[in-house]
Amino acid sequence: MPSIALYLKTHQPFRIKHYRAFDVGYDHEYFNDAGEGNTNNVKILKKICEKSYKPTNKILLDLLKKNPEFTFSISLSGTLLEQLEKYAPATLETFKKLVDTGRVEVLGETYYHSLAFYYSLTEFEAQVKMQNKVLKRIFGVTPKVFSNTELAYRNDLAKWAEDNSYKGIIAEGWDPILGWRSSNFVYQPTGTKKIKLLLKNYRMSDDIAFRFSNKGWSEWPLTADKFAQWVNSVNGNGETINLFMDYETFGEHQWESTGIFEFLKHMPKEVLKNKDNGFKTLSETCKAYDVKDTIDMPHIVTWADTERDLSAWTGNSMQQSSLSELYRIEEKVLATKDAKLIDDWRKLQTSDHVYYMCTKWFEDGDVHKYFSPYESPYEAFIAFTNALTDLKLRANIT
Amino acid sequence: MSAKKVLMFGWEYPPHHSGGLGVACKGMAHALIDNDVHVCFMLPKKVTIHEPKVTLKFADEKVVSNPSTTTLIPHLEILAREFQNPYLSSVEYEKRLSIFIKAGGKIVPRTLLQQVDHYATLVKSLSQEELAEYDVIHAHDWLCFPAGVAAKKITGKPLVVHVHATEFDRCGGNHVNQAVYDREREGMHAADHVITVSELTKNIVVNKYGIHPDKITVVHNGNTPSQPSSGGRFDKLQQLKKDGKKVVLFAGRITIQKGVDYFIHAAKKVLEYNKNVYFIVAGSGDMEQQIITLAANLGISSNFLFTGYYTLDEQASLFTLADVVVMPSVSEPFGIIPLESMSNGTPVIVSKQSGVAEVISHALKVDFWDTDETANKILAVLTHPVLKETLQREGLRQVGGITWDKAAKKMKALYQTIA
Repeated sequence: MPSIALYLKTHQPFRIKHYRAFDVGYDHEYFNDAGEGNTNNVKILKKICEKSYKPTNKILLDLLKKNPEFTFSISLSGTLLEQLEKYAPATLETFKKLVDTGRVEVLGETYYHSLAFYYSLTEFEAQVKMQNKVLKRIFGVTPKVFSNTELAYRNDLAKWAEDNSYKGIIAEGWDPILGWRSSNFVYQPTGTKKIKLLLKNYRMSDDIAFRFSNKGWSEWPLTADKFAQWVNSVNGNGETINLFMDYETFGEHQWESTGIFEFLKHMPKEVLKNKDNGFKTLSETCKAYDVKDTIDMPHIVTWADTERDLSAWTGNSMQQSSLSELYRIEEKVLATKDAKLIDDWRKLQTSDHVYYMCTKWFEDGDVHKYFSPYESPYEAFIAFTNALTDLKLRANIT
Repeated sequence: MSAKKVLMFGWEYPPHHSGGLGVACKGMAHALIDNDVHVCFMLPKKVTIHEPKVTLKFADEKVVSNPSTTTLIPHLEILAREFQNPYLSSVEYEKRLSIFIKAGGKIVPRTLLQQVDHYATLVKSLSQEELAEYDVIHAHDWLCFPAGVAAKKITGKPLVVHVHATEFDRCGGNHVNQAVYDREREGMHAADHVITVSELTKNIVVNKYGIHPDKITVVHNGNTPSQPSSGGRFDKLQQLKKDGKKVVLFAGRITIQKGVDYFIHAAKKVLEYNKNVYFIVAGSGDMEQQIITLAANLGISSNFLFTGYYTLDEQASLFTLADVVVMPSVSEPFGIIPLESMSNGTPVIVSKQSGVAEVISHALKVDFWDTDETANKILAVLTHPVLKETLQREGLRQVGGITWDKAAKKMKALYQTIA
């Protein structure tokens, strides 16, 4: 003790191209930008494969081979898998090799990386089903632990997961919820009987995901042996250290030049130098430890921002109206039974689209926080809304 | 650090102003005074101005003004303002001057260039004692550069020249007036430091005038919230809105610099998709006839309203009327119209070739030449209330932080380093 539960969340959206008012009614392809810009999905996918997925998978596979105790968990959104199959099959193979070792657990989620649970349960369930189907087809696995988009969690989501046979579910280990309790134990969601709740240790996760390259940080540079010391120091006051982060941390958010790959290469070995330490998948973690307490989250908690809420996705009226319009037309879209149209509608549900419309960091001097392929939240809204207008025309919705 | 005394050379001052320069000078002077900088503002000739806060001096009258009535009748005053406009090309200046003289105007016998040089001559006639009490000389635009240089020569005090616009902006990149360029260049080189109103202008000053970047400080303009007022002749247009029409506004001088022709082409595109839109072109300028003809040739005149010259009071009611304000400038050193519009709660579309685009993020931005994209964005604001609301709300909040106080603090710090 303790064991590390490393979970890498892997996702890419289908970004909407610069879709203008004049395209409505004529051009029904929203995601096919082939230009030099940042909404060219193929171009971005290939770049991320080179910078992140391929080198990281190589390291991870190597770690699995060299360290029998090393294991971790991963999720891959359906929208990513679809793009990998089509445009980067060789990279998809490297993910398969990881899972084929039997020591990499794949988590469940929505195929379209959507927030559907909070807007339409039937749509949410349809997307989870699609995701399970694609995971079965590509990796031959069925997920046992559920990871919602952006870790957007609420008590009723845990209840749903339990009712649908999941053994575990994950959420942010947010202090105002935890109080005096620590994220380094396993908990029970309010209103459930069996399912276990794993909470992200956001300090240690963010040390890697966000602070790793920050030269102004007092702990910079973060080395593998320093990190191992921190793991050792948890010994005695925690059973699991849940390191949840975007897969793209490795090579994309933190570039190779920061030393992030070297860190990853050496971290497991350094951690395992102490015989009390170990690695576990999320299922193994759920199985290994008893629940310490019940955790109550009646309101949505995410892993984002200092607020840990959905405000980055639903904070302004452009975002709210985009989401409510999307789900307002659900029934009519499904009634068309037009597979391409339904798929396009679902691709518009990917949470990234409304995230790009977020205005809360979009101030001068603060734009570096604005990760978006668009020049402004307004550009994002205009492209999205024009595409949605076209989609409604296709479905004869007024 | 003792409080600095600054002698500013300006060309115009509200209410006797024709463009943004006078408004900017006033806002700046007030904010500097609020930051404990002593400001004396010099103008080339005596006019009636009620200004209790700033000490005004007139170069043609050596004593501090004691307001008296002006000799111009209002009609002539407007004409005079038209040709004294510092943004005019020299050809347009001569044209307007002759209109003024034909109408009975007498007081200004000189060309603009002669006036500029005369300003410097007047300054040279001032005694050293009169000028000696100041720590810094600060001259606004080429119109005042020769006067500022003259004051520096007399006193040996450091000179700051403030570039609100360059000849390259005014002429849209073509047919630079050599005499104007020379005065700009001489002023910038003679100065101890150059202030530009944007990074955009800084680049022009570096690349076209050969000034070292280290000698330049960018001080973005602030915004002075305007008082709401009744709109006079534009109040009637409110009926358009009651009839459910959408209104898109261009406000400013109708010159090549302002890109009004691109506005007309974007309008054409918008009207292909939405006939329910009215376009207002507010302002006057040397391209006015050309623009009216262009709209006619494109067959969209019936959706256009050309207001001609408008007053500051009328401006606010135009903003209120408009659903969106477009500033498609080809080259805009700063551009105060978008800030005024935003503080009125009206969203803006601004060209990326503008200094103001550097300080506002809650605005839609376009390349001035991309009329398709301008049309796309006009349609988006007109079609989607949530887009308009978000731009309004965020824009209003942001523009509140773009103040002359910030600009004054930057200038004060600069004065401390050079004087």
